[in-house]
Amino acid sequence: MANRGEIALRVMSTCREMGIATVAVYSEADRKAAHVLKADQAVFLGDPEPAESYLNIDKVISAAKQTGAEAIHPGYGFLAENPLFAERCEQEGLAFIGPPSDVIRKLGDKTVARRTVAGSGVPVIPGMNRPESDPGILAQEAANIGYPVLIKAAAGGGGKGMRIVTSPKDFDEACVSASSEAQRAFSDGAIYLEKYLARPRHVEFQIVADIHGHVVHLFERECSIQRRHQKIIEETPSPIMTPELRERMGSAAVAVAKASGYVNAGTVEFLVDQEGKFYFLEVNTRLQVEHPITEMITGLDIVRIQLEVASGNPLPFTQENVRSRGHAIECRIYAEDPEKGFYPSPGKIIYMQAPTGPGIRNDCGIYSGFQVPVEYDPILSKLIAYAEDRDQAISRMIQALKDYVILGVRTPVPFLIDVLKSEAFARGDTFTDFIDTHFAGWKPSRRDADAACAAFIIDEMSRVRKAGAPAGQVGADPTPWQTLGPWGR
Amino acid sequence: MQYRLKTGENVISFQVEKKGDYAVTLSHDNCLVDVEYAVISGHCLHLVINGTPLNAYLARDGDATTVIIRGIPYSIQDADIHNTRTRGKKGLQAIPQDVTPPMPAVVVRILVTVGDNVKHGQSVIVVESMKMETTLTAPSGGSVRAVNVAVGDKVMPGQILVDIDRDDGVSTKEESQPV
Repeated sequence: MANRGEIALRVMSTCREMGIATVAVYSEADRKAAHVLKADQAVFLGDPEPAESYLNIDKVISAAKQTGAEAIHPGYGFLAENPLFAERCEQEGLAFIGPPSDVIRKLGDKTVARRTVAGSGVPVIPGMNRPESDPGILAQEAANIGYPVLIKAAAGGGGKGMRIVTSPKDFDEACVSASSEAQRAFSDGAIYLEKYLARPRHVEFQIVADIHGHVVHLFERECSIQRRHQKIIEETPSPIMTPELRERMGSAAVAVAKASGYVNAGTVEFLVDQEGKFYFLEVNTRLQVEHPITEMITGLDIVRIQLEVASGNPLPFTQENVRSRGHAIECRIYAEDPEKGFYPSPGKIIYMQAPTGPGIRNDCGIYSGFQVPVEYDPILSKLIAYAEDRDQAISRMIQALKDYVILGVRTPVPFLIDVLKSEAFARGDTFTDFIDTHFAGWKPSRRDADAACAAFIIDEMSRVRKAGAPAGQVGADPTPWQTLGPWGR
Repeated sequence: MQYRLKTGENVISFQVEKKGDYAVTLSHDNCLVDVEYAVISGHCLHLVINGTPLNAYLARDGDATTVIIRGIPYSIQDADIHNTRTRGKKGLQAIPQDVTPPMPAVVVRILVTVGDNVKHGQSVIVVESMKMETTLTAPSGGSVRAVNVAVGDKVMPGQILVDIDRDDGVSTKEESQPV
């Protein structure tokens, strides 16, 4: 398992069910990480910085070799979409749980992906199909496309190297800064242009494909609620979806997969404009962060499908017999402070208590006492609520969030509660500018300040009371005789 | 007993009266709050506030205690203790005024060397936390006296990463903001 955190645990769970032994890899910062504690074996990689650990192809391959692993699951992030890593696995005789390296390479360059997809008849966002560095040609292309235009990095992802330009006077400068940002982020400064779509929705389709040429889509996920171009709430079905649109977009997703020779699980992302027209955006050649909501409504285990497909087995279903039922929502729980511009908030998890109950799933990579490293992605866990319909799923998620206690780092939990409670979310008015439009400068309403002060005072008082007790007693679990207090309330 | 608590911008004085082993009354600004309680663990209290039950989760983090109620965090400090500890300094405000990261981070680029003359607001160091980069700028014009860190170092809020001798002769303790 060439990854860490919640996704490593998620993948290992399915491996266990299938009787597959697991090997974790870990860095110095992750000696006590949850994925290390769960694996059958664990191999130390090196220093915390990703280049010395989770991004180091030689070390990961060597860990696989020395433990006799037969396959590598890359999770998401790190090496998941690195064609060199997939190629290396192929050369070393290790099964890479994902698409072939040439498919990753083809779809990883956005301009190549656009050319591939345009040939299959699927609508792409108007724009260029080749990267360009000549400022004159770029300016001419921008004029042809018509402002506003979007500058994008050919190797892009995560909003890096992306600029919206509304007027020609800002264009040259934006190209220079986008290109240098892309160069730093991806070691590739190539940029190209697309028409900028105002207030789109981000709707993606889960696809699975086997080596026998079968491709099936597992319906859509609506992922429009984003901060810094990163999703924070996803749901399925999409509030705007009709059976007719689903049929057309699903077929387009399958066509994209077939045109690129896709194998294993992947995600075809689309933008849907105000008129309900959809455009191909990109393919994510990995297991997606938000895959659990698809699992909830289909009852399928996507990791199991990945492992079966990688073993050469055919998909165990056809498009006709994949069914969905109910509604699922995912909230990403990051270590970040929603009151301070979603700034990262690493630190030690002093205490945590996760929600449980019908329809609640918590894919979690942390525990009380775990030190959340500064070196990696801030995702701590993903909370998923499933219910019969959208309104029930929203209510269920709100209650689960209120029960989700994480002390020691800040999390977006209070923000997520307010988003889910909002009229705009209830109406399904979910566009990519949702947070800027409805929640700019957000602060939680702190109605329970008196109760919080009472808790502080009582905590102080009970510490004073315990001060006479032997060391080690403070904060220890009290007996019911000490705690039951108000009998018969 | 009396407590002066700081929550957000407000300082509230509470008069606390014990009403039994597991009950207290708090009063402030003509408000009376009846509290029954049970200590569930070192991090969890069950409270009945004026007849309404709720669970409060708390953790001490340095000076402040974070209390989570119904999913919302409240940061609470004992105003008296807080004042004693910060008296004579500029208080908590002093921290963001130096070349110091706003959160635990790793140094990724150092943009100045000792002896450089920097302008007010010039970028001096880039830190990264959880894949997000933040550029720290010079709090004032001056010359770089010392660079206290190296690329790859882990740094904490409050730690001074770069010392700058100000043009007017005062050494840096002035404002520096992340950009």
